Amino acid sequence: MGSNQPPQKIFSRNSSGLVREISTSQAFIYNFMAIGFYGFTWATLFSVGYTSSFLGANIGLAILLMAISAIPFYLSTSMLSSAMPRAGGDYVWQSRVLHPSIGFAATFSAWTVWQWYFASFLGVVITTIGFQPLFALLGLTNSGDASTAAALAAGYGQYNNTLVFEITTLIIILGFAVAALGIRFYVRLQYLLFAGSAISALTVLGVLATTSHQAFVTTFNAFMVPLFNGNQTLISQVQSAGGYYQYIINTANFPSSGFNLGNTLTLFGIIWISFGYAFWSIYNLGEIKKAGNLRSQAIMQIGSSLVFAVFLLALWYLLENVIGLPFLHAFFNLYPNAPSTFPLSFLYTPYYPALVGSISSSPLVWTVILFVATFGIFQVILIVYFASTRIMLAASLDRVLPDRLSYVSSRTHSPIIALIISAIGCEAFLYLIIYDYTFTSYFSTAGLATQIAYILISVTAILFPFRKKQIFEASPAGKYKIGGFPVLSIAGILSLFVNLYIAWIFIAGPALGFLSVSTASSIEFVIGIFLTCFVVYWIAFAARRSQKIDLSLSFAEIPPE
Amino acid sequence: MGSGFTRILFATDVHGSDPVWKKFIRGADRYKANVLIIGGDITGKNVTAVTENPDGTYSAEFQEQKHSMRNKEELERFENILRTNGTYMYVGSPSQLSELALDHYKAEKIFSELVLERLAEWVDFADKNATTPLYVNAGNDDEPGVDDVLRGSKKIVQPEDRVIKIDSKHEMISGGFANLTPWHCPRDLPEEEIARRLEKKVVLLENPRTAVFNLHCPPVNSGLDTCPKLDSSVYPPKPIMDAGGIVLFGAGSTAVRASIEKYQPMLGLHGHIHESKNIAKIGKSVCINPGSEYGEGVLRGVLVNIDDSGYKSYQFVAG
Repeated sequence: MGSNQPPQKIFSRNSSGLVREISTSQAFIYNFMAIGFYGFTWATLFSVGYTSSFLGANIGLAILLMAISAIPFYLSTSMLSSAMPRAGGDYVWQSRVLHPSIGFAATFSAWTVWQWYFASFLGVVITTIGFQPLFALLGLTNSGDASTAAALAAGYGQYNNTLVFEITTLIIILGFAVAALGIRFYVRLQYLLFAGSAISALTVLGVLATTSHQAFVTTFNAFMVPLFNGNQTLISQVQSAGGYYQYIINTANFPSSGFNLGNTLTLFGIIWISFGYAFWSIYNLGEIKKAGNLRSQAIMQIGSSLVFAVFLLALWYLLENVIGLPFLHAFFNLYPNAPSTFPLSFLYTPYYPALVGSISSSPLVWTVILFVATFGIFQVILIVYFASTRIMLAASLDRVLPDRLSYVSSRTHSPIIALIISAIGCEAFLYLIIYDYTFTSYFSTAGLATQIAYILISVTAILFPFRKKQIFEASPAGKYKIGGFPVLSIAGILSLFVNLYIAWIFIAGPALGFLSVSTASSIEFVIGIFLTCFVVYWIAFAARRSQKIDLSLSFAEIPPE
Repeated sequence: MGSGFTRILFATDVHGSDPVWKKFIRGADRYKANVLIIGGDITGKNVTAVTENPDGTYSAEFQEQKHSMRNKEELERFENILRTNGTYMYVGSPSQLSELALDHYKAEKIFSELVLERLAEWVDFADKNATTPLYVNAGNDDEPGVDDVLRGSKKIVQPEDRVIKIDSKHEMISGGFANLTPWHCPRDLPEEEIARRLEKKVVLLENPRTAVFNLHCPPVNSGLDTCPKLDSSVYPPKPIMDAGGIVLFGAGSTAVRASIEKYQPMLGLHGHIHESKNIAKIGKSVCINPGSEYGEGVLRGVLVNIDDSGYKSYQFVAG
């Protein structure tokens, strides 16, 4: 060793565990794949954000402000992860800092039970965003495809649509099969799906970017002509309006409005549903805690959410400039508010990819935009499917849930029993989505449910430096203080405000069109599931006590002195 | 608890963390354990050099962050942080540290002295505070001098080369070695040698089926040994990535697995892979790895309840 060797390098040993970090690009991809191009936000933001529920909202500004507002949360999770890299995530953080019953109830309800709902919801979205519009477009020249499109669209909101139920059931089974085949296969497939979704997303942007506003209007008007089916009244009205594009705008008669900051901010709820997943890929390689790891974690989580924001912003900018804001307002507002007058009813639901697809006359482009988009949706389904088993495994090892749940196949190393339960849970939610009219629109409810977990993570971040002082002071995060007050706690406070606000949006904010149910039902359901999980913990507590196992010892800290 | 009931508190890979050791000793009362076992890797991996500056202040770099201590009190607080992490501290003048940078042999000697000094403190703590039988084994990361320090204790029993009766019915054999690792640790052994040593130990047992196999290295592909696969053509080794994900594999020992499969002990207690907290059954043998969070000062352990009829239940604890 040379004389200019820094002092800390004098005493490094060939001890086990010393591992080089993975590259920045590898870590970034790992993080970004957790959000994915196509997920909840992508599926819902533009359909809901242009409706009269959000009059005067600026979607682009909402995306930007959400990306900035998310930073304290990512800072919190990065610091907690750097302080407890082997803990295993928020289930353990909350169990240690708050109480094991809260840690279990919050994470099991948000990251297991409600993920079953999200997986089923996205499974249905595969049909509504991908398959149905693709068959509808192909059906313009092929009656067989048109029949398929009609069958996939039957029933308002797909209620009682057995075909959609069957297709989504197959998707759920496929997700189970992929996850059951083991992590190596799952990781490889996920990578391919992500690549496919990237191609689809970039194609959408590319088609929009190479189309002028006037070209869209002209193309759209020409596209709609064959769909009038000889309806002379309609033809006459369209001619008076100067084309179907303007006809839709006139029909909707969307109220004009200036910029409304309040409505802009209430879009946080929809945007956060995807943004929030960037922290799911928390991991740490090796046991050497470094400030570099903390920095990397923070940069990767914030970075991946910012890249997602850039993608959304690009999409927003192109949609408004190519398709036009008045048309977007009219198009998305007619569906929930006056469905009988909704144009393009053959496309069934108002998602923008089909609108973008209609710009092109190429079935290949339609396939890439619509069918390949389903790769991305399926990728997110796999993430939530696999991740929903995480809490089950952890809670099973901690003796809160039955031992069988932590069974892992010796061949594929996948948690088969937990995956079966996830599949059943997804199917149960799917049944309710399709066959229970009142249940279908529990999207905002699911959002509220996951907010409980985000709020408790924020509280954990605030309290951690004080309740686990020794662990905190010994971690890289321990050095960051402002006026002696931990930055982690400051980040936690800011994150708490943001997440409480988002929870308020799901409780008292504007109705998300077809995505929300009455507030009372939402709150009852969310609290009901949370309390059920809470009770499950205490049942386990009592049951284990009879086996001489005291669950109060699982996370109780022993004072060393 | 009824007669014939034994509760084991097992922890492993404490790697020099002061609070973890002390919590472990106190764990007997807290967890009502009547046998305490540490499975190996008790010494730390790093020394942090602290420069004593001419103006009486101190400076160091730790976890890639610069630390400045204005006085001895702040230095003591800094040392507590290091002790929580399992790291040792060496204070020297700039010239002393520069000299050490050139003298690898001397640096190693200082490292060993610090390791054994802290271990001696731990032994002293155990001698004063342990209230139950206490079995502490060295692991593959621990240098040879560790055994002598452990054997000097009044309360600690070093179980490596003997059969221990942990209660009236159950025996225990121990092995702190591990299969070869990319880091060439002091007690890394080839699988054939591990197999040979295990056979030598097992033949001393009256009844392997009621025994505890306290083997630092977990059985291969058991779920207790899952960790990132490493490219050891570079140093330090680098995780292998595939399709955007880290490749995981079972790093455990084939010889340990073969021995468990053959002799079907009641219980296997393992460590070595810190991130692989899990429980597995190999035939009728229950094998457990509680993992380790030594770097955070968290005692990760497992309580195992056994009685005359055998294994009854387990509970992971993190205190």
